[in-house]
Amino acid sequence: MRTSARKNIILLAFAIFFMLIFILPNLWMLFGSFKDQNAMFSLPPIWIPDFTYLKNFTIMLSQSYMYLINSLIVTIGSTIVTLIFSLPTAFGLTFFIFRGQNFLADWILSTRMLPPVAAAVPLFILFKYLNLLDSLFALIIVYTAFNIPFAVWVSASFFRRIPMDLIEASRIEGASWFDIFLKIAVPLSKGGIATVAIFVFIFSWNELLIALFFTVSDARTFPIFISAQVSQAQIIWGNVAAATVIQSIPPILLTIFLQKNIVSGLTLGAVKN
Amino acid sequence: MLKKILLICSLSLLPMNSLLAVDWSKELGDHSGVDLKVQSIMDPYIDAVKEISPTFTSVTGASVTVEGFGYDGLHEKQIVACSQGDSSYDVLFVDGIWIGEFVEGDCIAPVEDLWTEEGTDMSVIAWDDYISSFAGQAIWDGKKQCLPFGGYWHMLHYRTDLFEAEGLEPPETFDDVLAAAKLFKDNPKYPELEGGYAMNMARGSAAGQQFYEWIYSAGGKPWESNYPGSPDAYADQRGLYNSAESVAFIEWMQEMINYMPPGVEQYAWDERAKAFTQGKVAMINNWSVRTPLFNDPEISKVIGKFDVALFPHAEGASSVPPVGGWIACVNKHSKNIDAAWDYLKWFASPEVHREWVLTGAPPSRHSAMNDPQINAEQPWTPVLYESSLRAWQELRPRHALTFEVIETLGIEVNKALTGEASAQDAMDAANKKIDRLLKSEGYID
Amino acid sequence: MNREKIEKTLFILPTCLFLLAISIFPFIYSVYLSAFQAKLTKMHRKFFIGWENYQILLFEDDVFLTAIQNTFTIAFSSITIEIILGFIMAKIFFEIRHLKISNAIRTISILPIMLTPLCVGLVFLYILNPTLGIFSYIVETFFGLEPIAYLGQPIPAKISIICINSWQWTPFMMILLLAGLMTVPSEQYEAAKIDGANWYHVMTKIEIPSILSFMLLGIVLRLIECIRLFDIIYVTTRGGPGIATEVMAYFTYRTEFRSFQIGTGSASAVIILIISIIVTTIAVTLLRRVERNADFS
Repeated sequence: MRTSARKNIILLAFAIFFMLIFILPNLWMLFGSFKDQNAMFSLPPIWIPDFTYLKNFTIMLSQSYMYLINSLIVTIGSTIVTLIFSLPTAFGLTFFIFRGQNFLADWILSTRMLPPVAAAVPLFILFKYLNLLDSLFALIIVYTAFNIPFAVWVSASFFRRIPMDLIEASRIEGASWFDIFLKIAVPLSKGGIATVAIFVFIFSWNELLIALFFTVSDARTFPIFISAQVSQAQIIWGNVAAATVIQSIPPILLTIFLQKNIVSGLTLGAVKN
Repeated sequence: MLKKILLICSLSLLPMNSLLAVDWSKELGDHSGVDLKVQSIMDPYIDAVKEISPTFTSVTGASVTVEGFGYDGLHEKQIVACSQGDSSYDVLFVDGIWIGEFVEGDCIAPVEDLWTEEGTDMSVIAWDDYISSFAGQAIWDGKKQCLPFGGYWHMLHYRTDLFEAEGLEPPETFDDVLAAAKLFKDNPKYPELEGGYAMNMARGSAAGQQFYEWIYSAGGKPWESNYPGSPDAYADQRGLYNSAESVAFIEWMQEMINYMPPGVEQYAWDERAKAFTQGKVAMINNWSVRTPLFNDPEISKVIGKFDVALFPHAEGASSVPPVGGWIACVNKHSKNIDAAWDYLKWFASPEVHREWVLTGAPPSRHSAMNDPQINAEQPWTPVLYESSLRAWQELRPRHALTFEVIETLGIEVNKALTGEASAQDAMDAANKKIDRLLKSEGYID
Repeated sequence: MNREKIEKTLFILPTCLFLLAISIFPFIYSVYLSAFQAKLTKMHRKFFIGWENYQILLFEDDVFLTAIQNTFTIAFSSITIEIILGFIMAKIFFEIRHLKISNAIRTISILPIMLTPLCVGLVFLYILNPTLGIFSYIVETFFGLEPIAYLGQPIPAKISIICINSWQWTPFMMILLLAGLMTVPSEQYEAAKIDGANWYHVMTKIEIPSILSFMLLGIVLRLIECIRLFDIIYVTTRGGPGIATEVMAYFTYRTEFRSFQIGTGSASAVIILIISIIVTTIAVTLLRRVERNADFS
């Protein structure tokens, strides 16, 4: 008993050590966001900042609130559109039996693996002809396309947990597939769908490369604003730290919500928790 | 009597051209309701632009929004957008060396056409008042494309207190620079110094431009027909990036690195200037746009402790101070071309230019260089003026491949400086790649 | 019957069409563009040059070849680190899973996974500042080492990128392997205990075999991410110093959107695409297999 208690303490100490490795860099940036330019880099370091110093946040937000709004519109928009496309498809792939079913599923999955950078120029040219460059709409479309495969696969893995008997019983009662989808599958997989939505939200929120290609002025997202702060002109680190903190809030909060399903999501539903 | 004295005083303070003060309400149209968007580099002058722009609003009714970007980011966004016919920005502040690319991308409504069409009073433009090494940067395909406004020239900046303490004269030759840098590096007398000298060495534009800035003063030339005074710099563009002079210069930089602060391999414009303002290096070569910052009490620790000198040169060569800077262009696809042109006319005019310079921006016209008040506020102006007269306008290429050529070169130079390749190998590779690039577009056979 | 068919089609077809238009068409168009010399800033003038872009990239351009090499160096090194550290952490969390506090510690530890990669890059750019950063300060005060330009010299920069990359993704490997460890039947552990097997035997004979498929899955998924590695490079080193951290995605980006050479850029994109397809094929097979195995357990 005693040895096992000691063992636990040692293991716990290690676990805490690892936790610190993964949290301290972020905390240092968080603390930095409450310091002025000189304090951020003063040596020896100022370990604990004055948390009432909010100037970095106010300056940064006043410069960039429109980009934050853009980010939110694009993120929420693409999350909704992704779900509208993906859920029925995932349902179909799970419950319909047709030729080439597996092939289709694999094909959808494989588009997820294609590197976005390889699609950027053709999409740029396409949107140029549609006169949609520098529009939030274009970003929503592209993010949706890149998220659909993920959403289809993960939602399918949740739909598969619905007992087949339930579906068959409704079929016999004469319910249409659409009814079954809306009244049985979706309500029974609420938790799973929330997981998918959160992942898609975070992916879109974090996206940089495509936004870098497609936005000029009006449609710039928050990550674009942040990256512009560090491109070779003078870096105002206080503002950058504040922006980083704001950008990090949604992923952190949502990860805490997700924790149970995170493995499942990151492995595209292959691993159940 | 008193009136007369006052009049004489005020006259002598005014530069020649602005003696004929422009009646702006007559010269500029009414643009009420227009929101003019200006796309600019985030160089120190941007605050001055924001500061004086409300005057334009009060005359024309058009509001002015100035948005700043980093160097590479600006290039990327500007050219991509305008070549696709984007009208987000009306006025583009463009680096003079990008002009070829912007003309090729069909981005610019040439100012020459605009003023011919409008029948503009040419004394408002005062083209001859521009210093020619800089004004040439706004001309491409034989046409005046944009209005120059922010001319920069390089000067050597050095710490007078340190040089006096050591009984040194400001360095003139590369050898002087090296000897002084060596003296100050790790010198126990000056513990706050991290290095003797700082240069732009970061991969890409920073290191690539550094090469062009130095090569003429190093006694070399970047390609066959480009040398100070060349009648047609683009006649023969075969590269000389691996010539004996080029390689010797890179090797000189490799030696200089030993006397620079740690991390200098990542320095670009801002880091270089910061090292000087923070009192960490004894010397830098620097664009004149940042010189006023060194007297800004908010950021500088070297106020009153520095002076400027002509750009250094190799033994047996002469000083060719680098020239560069920003020209204001009208976006061809803008929906507010008239307002944009009025803004250009107003902003680049000798009178407003003077006002802008007095807000802490770099003088770029003869009238500004000779202005007593500017000379009083920016005491380095005489050296700057001399530098500007000695400079060579084709310092860096200005054709459509410029950015790519400079970036390619900057990668190879940076490789040599970080020890990834020898000077000879790096410059051989640079020469080969640049030649191939120029061949692909038919610039050379 | 017919009506049902239409209904079923409506469930699946829109997504397929959408993917074809926005996902598949671009890749095909990239292949087409890669046979041209073309500039994004003057699209009206492009000319066919066939194979030449590939020829230049694969046989003449040392930067692109280095980019491929760097991508895989970074991928293999970071994945190795992630597996080793991830396994150790998974073991620790597995052993203390019955402690209440372990849940909280684990949740905090996995935060980096979902953080915006751009922000991860910035956090480390701030920490690793050579003269004024906290890392230099710690190294100098506690270990007496002279600070160096962690992101400014070839080898340190490469190591830094690998570390940043692993920092973000080790927690992922950890929870994945932890999920794997959970599938090990407890009877096997008890049997090993009775046999008096030491930890090494337990690890090699029991644990690793049963989490192997999880490990493989993790490796493949990470490989796909590493091939796309862009954001962190973009904010920290921008491929430098020299070409020490130039990677495929960044090379493609700057060829297409800084030099505007979309012909060469597309060729480079197609090469990434081919590499991705190979990795993807393996990945899809693995995902299917793991899924089937997982369903059994």
